[in-house]
Amino acid sequence: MKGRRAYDILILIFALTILSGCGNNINTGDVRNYSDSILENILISGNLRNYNDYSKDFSDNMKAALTEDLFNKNNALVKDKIGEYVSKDFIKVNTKKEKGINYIIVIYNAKYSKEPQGALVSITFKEKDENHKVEGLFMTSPKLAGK
Amino acid sequence: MIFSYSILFMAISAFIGVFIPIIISVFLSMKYKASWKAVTVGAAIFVIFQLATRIPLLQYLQKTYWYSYNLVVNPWLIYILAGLSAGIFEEVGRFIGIKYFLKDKQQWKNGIAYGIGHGGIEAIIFCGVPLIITIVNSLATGTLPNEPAYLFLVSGIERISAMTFHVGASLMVLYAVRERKYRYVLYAILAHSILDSAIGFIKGIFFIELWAAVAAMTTLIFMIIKIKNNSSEKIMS
Repeated sequence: MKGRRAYDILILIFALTILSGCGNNINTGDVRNYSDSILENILISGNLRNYNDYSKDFSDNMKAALTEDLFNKNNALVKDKIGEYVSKDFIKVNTKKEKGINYIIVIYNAKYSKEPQGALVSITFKEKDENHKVEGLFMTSPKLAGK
Repeated sequence: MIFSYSILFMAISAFIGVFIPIIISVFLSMKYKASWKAVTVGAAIFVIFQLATRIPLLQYLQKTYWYSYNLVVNPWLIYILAGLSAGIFEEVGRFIGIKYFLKDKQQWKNGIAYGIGHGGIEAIIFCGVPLIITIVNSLATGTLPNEPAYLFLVSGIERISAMTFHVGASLMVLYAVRERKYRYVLYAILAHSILDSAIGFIKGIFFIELWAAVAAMTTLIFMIIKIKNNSSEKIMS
């Protein structure tokens, strides 16, 4: 009985942990007003191999993490595996809290010339940042995962 | 200083990953006459059901659009899938190993030996050997992986939790086989799935390791109490 009770408590803690991440008051339209154009610039700049334009909306942390050398390496891989960026469709906005900071994660499906179903791209901003600096950028697709 | 701490922590975790399972297996064998066959079957089942089956299936799944989509849009689904698949593959494998390959070795002490074999080979493959290679490379090149030193220690501590869980889960499945209460196999699948899935939801390495340790200890203690209350045979007899 003691063991079963301990398990019940563990499952309750687990459930509360999950539920604590649910629910947000983000206005999708407001977020898309800046995220659509910022991501469009990033993906077009990737096509053009232009790091200066690619990183112009990056936060300092992002610039330090995603240097020009790394950009060139990643961009070459993306072009090789999934081709050129064509267009994108908005999917949804998520939020997360990390180290006391609220983040907004905007998710798109980006069409690429050699990836028929598209690549999933997420772009992350700080919720309270009025300059809308990019804090995170992630891309995956079946062909990229199979590299 | 950081360099020396990193090497020190890697060495401690490599020791935990490689030598602790061997030392415990030898101890169980010499002091309690536990079966080496149980240790070996535990290790073999891990290799067959995890390395040769589950991981290739997950790698195949990772190349689908469904996986890419849900990894980004519904990551919770991927956490649950990863946990549930670990639970199903490893616990069904454990059931097959104990029921069909250890027919004459179903004493409780051999359940512990099975868990050490299963968790031990996992520790050797995923922690001990990679860290030994990293230590050798670091000493040869004078450079270290770009990670905080404490993370190397965490990997060893995590293996202790994992081995503890595997011993508890092995006793649970052995209990199912011995007492013909097969719902305990489902409980083992559920416990394993919850333990692994939760890791995706919990933020911060400290809380992840705390969760793993508490869940593993709870599983083991639950089974020890269960066996003491329901079996006339002592666990280490």
